[in-house]
Amino acid sequence: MMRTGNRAQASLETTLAIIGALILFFGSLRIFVWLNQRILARQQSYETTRVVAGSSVPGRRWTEPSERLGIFR
Amino acid sequence: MALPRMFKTSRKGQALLELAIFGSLILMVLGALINYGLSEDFNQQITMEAFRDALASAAQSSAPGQPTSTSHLLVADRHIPNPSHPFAAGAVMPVSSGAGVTRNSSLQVTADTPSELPTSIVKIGGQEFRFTEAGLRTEGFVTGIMWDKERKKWVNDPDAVGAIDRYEEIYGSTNVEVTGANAILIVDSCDGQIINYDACVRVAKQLNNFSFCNQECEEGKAPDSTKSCFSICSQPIAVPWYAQGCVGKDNCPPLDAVFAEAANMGLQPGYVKQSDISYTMRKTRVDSAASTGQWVETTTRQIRTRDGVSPVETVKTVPAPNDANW
Repeated sequence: MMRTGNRAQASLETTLAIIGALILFFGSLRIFVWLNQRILARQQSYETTRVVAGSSVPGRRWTEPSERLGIFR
Repeated sequence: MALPRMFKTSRKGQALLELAIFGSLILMVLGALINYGLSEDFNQQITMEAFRDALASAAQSSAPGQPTSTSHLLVADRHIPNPSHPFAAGAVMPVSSGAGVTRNSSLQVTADTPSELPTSIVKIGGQEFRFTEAGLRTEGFVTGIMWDKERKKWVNDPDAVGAIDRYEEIYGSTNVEVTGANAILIVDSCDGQIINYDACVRVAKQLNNFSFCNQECEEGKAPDSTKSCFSICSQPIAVPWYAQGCVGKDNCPPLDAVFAEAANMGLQPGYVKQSDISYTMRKTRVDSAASTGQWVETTTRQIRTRDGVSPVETVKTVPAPNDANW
């Protein structure tokens, strides 16, 4: 009876530990992906603003054409 | 052999203990990842913004009344949440980037008015400060110029050595322009709001010292050039304020006085930060998240110019983590 109880407890603890570890792992992965996506989005915004900035006129600040990404705001 | 009871008991909760140990390590790695990722993110953002600002200024440089060249320095205080901080408020860190763009078509453009002088723009937390990097000087009694019938303007006489040649030798031919029968306009990089000590001492020495002028002229002369450095440096010219009594480095009274308190002009590297943290726990709970406090950080920087010192104060408010605008 004692052996069965120990085994059940170990399984339960392992399950809890695995759940916690997986949450941490996928959380890290999600942050990593988010940061990478931001770098890509900013690069896209940077490319689209080249012509806008290069042909800007005095008195008007260059802005992102679509204002969709809002990276430079 | 049966294990003693003590060991049997200690095996209980082993998995939870392991999670506690390795979980904290994973959390530490996670925190480092967020910290590094965010600081890289902010650095990339400000670098790109500085370059785009510089590109826009370069595009406008050929328009009348716009600076012929512009350098940009952007500084921003960004908040990076820190998981190791008790309330995860983290620190407010400065990120900065500088950029300057020169377009080929603008290389030969000389400033004619004060608004066209080379400009340094410092943007701190969205506040923009503009400073000239040169001044306009008009000098009369200029020798060595002639009337160009075709272009209908006064120009440097190629067959005669005069004061104009010495001015061009010291300031560069693109920075010296003949404006009348006996007048020239000089874009003097030592007469702006932001000047460089070493460069200006060198200019002052060229203005005051014949031997130094001759030496610099000979060193910079093209191999096939026929110009006479001796004749050029012998020409009498006007001595501006910064060259009065200036002999050399650390022996240049006008410039030593200007640079008495700081070695460089512009935005000073040091700054003062004052943090006010309010940890008032709120009773209301928004979106099931616990409320902590608010962090207000005031950063005071100094921009040093020939006109004096301008303190610049920027306030960065980091709201409580569950505020809607966080």
